[in-house]
Amino acid sequence: MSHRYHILVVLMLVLVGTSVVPAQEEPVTVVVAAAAETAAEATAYERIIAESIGVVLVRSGFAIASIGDAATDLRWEYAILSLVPRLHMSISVRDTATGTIVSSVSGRARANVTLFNALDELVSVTVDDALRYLALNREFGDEIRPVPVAGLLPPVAPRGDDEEVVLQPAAPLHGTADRGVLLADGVQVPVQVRRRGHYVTTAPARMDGMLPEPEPYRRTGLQVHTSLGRLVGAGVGARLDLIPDRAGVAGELDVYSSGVTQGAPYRVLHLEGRLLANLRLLRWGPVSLRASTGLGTVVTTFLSGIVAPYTDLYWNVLNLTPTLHTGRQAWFARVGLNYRVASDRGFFPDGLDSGMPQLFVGTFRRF
Amino acid sequence: MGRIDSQVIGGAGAGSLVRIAARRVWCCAVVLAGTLALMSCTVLTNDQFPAFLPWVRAELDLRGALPADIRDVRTESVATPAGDRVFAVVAAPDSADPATLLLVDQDLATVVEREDPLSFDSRLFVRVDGAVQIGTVVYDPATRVVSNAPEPENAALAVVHDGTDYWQLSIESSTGVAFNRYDTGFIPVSSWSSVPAITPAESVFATWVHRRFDTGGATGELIVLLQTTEGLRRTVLQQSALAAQTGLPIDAGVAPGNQVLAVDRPDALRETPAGILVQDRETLRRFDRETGAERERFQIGVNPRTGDPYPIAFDPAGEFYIVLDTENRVLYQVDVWW
Repeated sequence: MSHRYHILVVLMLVLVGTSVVPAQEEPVTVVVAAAAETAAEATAYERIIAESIGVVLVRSGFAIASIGDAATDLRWEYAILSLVPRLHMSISVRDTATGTIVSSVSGRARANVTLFNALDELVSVTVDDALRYLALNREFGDEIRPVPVAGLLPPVAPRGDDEEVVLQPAAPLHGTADRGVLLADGVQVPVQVRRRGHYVTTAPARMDGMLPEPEPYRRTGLQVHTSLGRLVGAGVGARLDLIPDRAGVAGELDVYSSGVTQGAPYRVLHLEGRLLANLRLLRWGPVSLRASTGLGTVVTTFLSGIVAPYTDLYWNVLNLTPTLHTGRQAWFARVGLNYRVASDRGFFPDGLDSGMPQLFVGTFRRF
Repeated sequence: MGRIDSQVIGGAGAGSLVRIAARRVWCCAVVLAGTLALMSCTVLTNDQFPAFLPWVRAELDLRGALPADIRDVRTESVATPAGDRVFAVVAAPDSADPATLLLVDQDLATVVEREDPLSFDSRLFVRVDGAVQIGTVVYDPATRVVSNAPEPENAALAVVHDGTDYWQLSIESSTGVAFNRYDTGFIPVSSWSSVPAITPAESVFATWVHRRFDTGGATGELIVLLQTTEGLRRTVLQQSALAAQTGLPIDAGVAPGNQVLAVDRPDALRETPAGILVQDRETLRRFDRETGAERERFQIGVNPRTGDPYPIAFDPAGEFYIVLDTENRVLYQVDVWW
């Protein structure tokens, strides 16, 4: 079986799922024609092939029109590629309206009585593809009519029930192969593998169907971050996912200083600790959005030692964290709203943050 | 014909997945755009903590001294001719309890702590004998003795002395400001209700009066900082021997050095050797004494817990200022900002 056939089968299987093809309501008119002129010595075989195709088509409920009839839906095209040492032929089905290749097979057969069995088998495959294609057309109509596939599609097939393979764009038109890598209009076509419990992995689509192996998801991570308004300082954090890639907890510790940029004479350090619980709201490709909430405390110390420390508390009411995942490494921004709690010796007033929400930027790596 | 942005192979419901994916792209794009907008707007300062903290060089815990429910508070400072600086904190509680008076020296050591039926408007002033007085409380920095003395009857903007008598600067509804003269026992002697050089003051928010003795004794200068609607007016009044004999320690002549500073409603002000220092709500400003030009500013902000300007008083020597944190009941000694 050719790659082309394989791909189309995969494509069809995916698009219609595993549902049974519904029965035809009206006979679909088809035509059988030679794809190209064949050599004179092949005409006998050509006639046998055409007749065999017709038999299977009629048996499948199609109405066969004559060549040149404009009112046909599908067109079966056959070609004899060679006669020796064995008969090598190809059969493809084309949507006459759009030119879409619906199915394509090729095979070899011995020139004896087994020829008919081989032909029957090949044609049956194209008929199955055609039926699926017609069912697909009926279900989705014009909304997502498959783009004509005139070129190549790599055989990208998921390797299990919990894996998804995404080709972008959906249909590389008029593709070519360059050292095994698919090029569509001269550009590599990314194929993305998503597997449950694994990171999303992207690689150029290959004609041999080789897919990148996604890395398993890791539950723990370490992060560094900073916050606007606290750029003279940084924070570190540790993450633990209780439900992998879905929900977890994190602890963070920030150290930052006030007045450094203004040339202040004394150093004031703020040590800020936070405990957060987070939940992934959505994920699209390498981007995810998490919401988190938690509690934090800030200890303000004077390095001069003359002034005793101050302590402030706050409730981190809600943070929204868009994250860009690049394998194990991820980059995030976080906007947060705090409810500050006035303490006996502290600076925060009671109530929600006034002014701009707090903004963090940072990165973390899973281990 | 609909366009397919991506095609999912494997899994269920290919068509709906495509639509969900498109919606998620939009969600993420909106969130990222919002984040970037926030980043571009947020200034790089940390407004969670008082801006002056990294300038604090000492603190005085007043939790035992001041009431927890401070309704109103006032801070003042004076310098004695001997060079001692005394700072006063007057805190009125929310209850009917009397106001608390604290006097601290330049090292932030408490020298007087009283709960007296003190008038909240009582001014801190330097006595003829070199001690300082507020209300009836007298503190002599030289001997560190605290005593009592009669107090001025009327509320005043400022009290100065000319070596023998006290002169009270006060608001007169008809003429603006007026000087009233008292003897050392605060018995009224005379008044001069119109001082042309500093009248009219259409609205008075803050004043500071300082008598300079460094001109030789026979004559002196009285520097008046008076807030008017046109700005902060600095008026230097010459004290002449003749004027002293006729009863007013100043004559109507105005000396060079008068300026109008672009200041609106100062919360604290003082002329120091380092310049004219002003707290203009959220900003501390230093002006040149000679030219009146503004030099350095410091964005001190407001107390985040009260929303009010911090009660502060400038060191008469211009070396630091004190800030009262009424919520934590802490008095800070803070380095100057230039």
